[in-house]
Amino acid sequence: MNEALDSKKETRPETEGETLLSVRDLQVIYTASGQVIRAVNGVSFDLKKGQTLGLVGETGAGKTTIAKSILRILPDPPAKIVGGEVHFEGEDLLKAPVKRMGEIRGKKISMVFQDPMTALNPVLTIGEQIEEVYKLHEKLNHQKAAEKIAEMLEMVGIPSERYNEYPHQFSGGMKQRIVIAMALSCNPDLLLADEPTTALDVTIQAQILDMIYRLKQEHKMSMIMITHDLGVIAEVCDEVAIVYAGEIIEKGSKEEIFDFPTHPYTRGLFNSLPSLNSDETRLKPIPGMPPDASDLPKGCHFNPRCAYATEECRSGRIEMTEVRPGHYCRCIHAADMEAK
Amino acid sequence: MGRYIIKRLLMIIPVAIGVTVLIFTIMYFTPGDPATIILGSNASAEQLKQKNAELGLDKGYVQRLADYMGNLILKQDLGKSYMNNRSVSGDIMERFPRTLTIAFFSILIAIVIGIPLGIAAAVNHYKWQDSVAMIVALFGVSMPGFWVALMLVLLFALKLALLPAMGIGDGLRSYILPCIACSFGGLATIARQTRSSMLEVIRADYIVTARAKGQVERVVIYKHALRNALIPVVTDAVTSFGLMLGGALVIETVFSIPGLGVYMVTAINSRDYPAIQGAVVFMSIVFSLVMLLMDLIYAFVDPRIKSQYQKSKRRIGDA
Repeated sequence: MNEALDSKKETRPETEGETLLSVRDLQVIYTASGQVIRAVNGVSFDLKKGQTLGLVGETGAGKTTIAKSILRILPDPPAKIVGGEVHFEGEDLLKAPVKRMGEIRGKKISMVFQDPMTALNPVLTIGEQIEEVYKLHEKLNHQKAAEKIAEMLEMVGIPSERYNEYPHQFSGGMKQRIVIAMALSCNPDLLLADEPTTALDVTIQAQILDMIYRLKQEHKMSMIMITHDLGVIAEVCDEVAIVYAGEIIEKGSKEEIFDFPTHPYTRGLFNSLPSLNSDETRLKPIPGMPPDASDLPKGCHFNPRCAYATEECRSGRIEMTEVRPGHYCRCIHAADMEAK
Repeated sequence: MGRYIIKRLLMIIPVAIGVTVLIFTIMYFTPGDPATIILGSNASAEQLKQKNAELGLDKGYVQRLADYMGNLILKQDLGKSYMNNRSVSGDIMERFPRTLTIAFFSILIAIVIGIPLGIAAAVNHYKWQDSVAMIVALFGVSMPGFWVALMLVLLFALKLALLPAMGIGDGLRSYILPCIACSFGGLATIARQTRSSMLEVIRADYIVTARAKGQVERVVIYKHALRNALIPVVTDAVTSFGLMLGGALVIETVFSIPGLGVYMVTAINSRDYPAIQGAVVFMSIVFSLVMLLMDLIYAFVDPRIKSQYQKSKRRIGDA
């Protein structure tokens, strides 16, 4: 590990256990040709310093929208944050002025995107793109920035002499490393990793994941890992929140969720994983399709696909209940799910 | 890159030769008799025959083509005009700077106004700025060039008496109105192209990346988005520049500017073969150069295109 990063590590006091990010009742809508699509419907969660929260859910569940709302980088129009609070170190980011957001983005909170092929600007060298972060947040001159960039590139395993090359001269895995180097360049407190390995080859996935995890530990960052891959969650997360139709339907520690999945949807997710121990020949999918976010089912959004749904599930908002210490579930039948 | 440019410059030679043969052939088959036009319809058959012999028009196609090509390639001579007996290349060189001035400044105006207009429209998509910019652009494409030109003359030359109405007697001042009149169409096209191209680009992932870095919006738009949106705009701008170099006939006529456009049309009407052929060959070379310029701008704007030009040096990213 190089010196610059060591010194940075020392400046960050040991504050594990304190809440870094607190999202309350976040609501986001998209408006498209007169239709209102409710992408995020009252999401609340806390993230403690140094911890990793995994947001798991199907494509279109609203995971990325949650992450982009935290940084306020959703395209407006069509997206609009219509309610809620995002407290980061005690400051409500949704009320912060644009200039203040500019100081937070890339410096305090940064993001790694899903598709490395399109996340880098094709007409600027990777050096120029990383340099921007240093110029913006640390006011470094070209020379100083170049030294830092070389360090960062070496850290993610890219030869620093490739500083002046363009994104098209790198492979997908390398581009994702560059995106990660860029995200980590100012040693942020919080990293939002939006499916960082989904677009990559399986062999590269493990490398990138290991690297993110290692750097997170070294830099003592907090992280929100967005994924639909339970294997990724098992590897890197402390806490897990299951997202369905723009709501968190179950959350708790990784161990709790993996050992005692309670919500029928969560159970469905685990059941759909192939097991190596049994002789099953077919996968067990969750029946039905994800709901249409412009016309969500009344009551529990999962009720049309749920085997245990009863009349009560089809009306009113279902509240989160604590089923075990620190393990919350948004299901009326949570208490008796254990028996089923 | 240097090798690429040299290769492209050498490729202009066969293009120019091809164009020469083609235009010569077309002119050969075009009805109309230069001798009749020069001497008038009262000339006797004897006089016409003598004139044709003098102009070398009594020879066969192959002989005439060989003579013309021989003069062109060996002596770089485009011949003499039938009408005034002046050297065609001299006439072209005298007129070309005027056409170039109009083309250059019109496209400059179109770019300087059109691109920011398109950006403003794209950034404020669906807001009033967008509507205003697009209405301006719509007017720009809809108004005929000669009408704009006449309106400008009415206002600035006749009413306000600020600028000359016609001719080139006042140096660069005489070019102000022609350039403005000529720029309208290009301005509108460039604004619309910039808008649609920017709208595509500002939804791109790397724009979100730039914002997530904390980059200020102005830099996101002008540094990150604009360069990526520029390729189709460059195509439009340079193509219309190339076409304008062929002479803006309407504008040259309205403002009585002796440029290439008027020269060509006069030459065609009087079947002045050397003048027509000379002008066409000259324009084909100019247009080839403009297209080369366009490809070089592409390379400058987009490194992916540049790397195609220097394939030998290209380095492929390892996995």
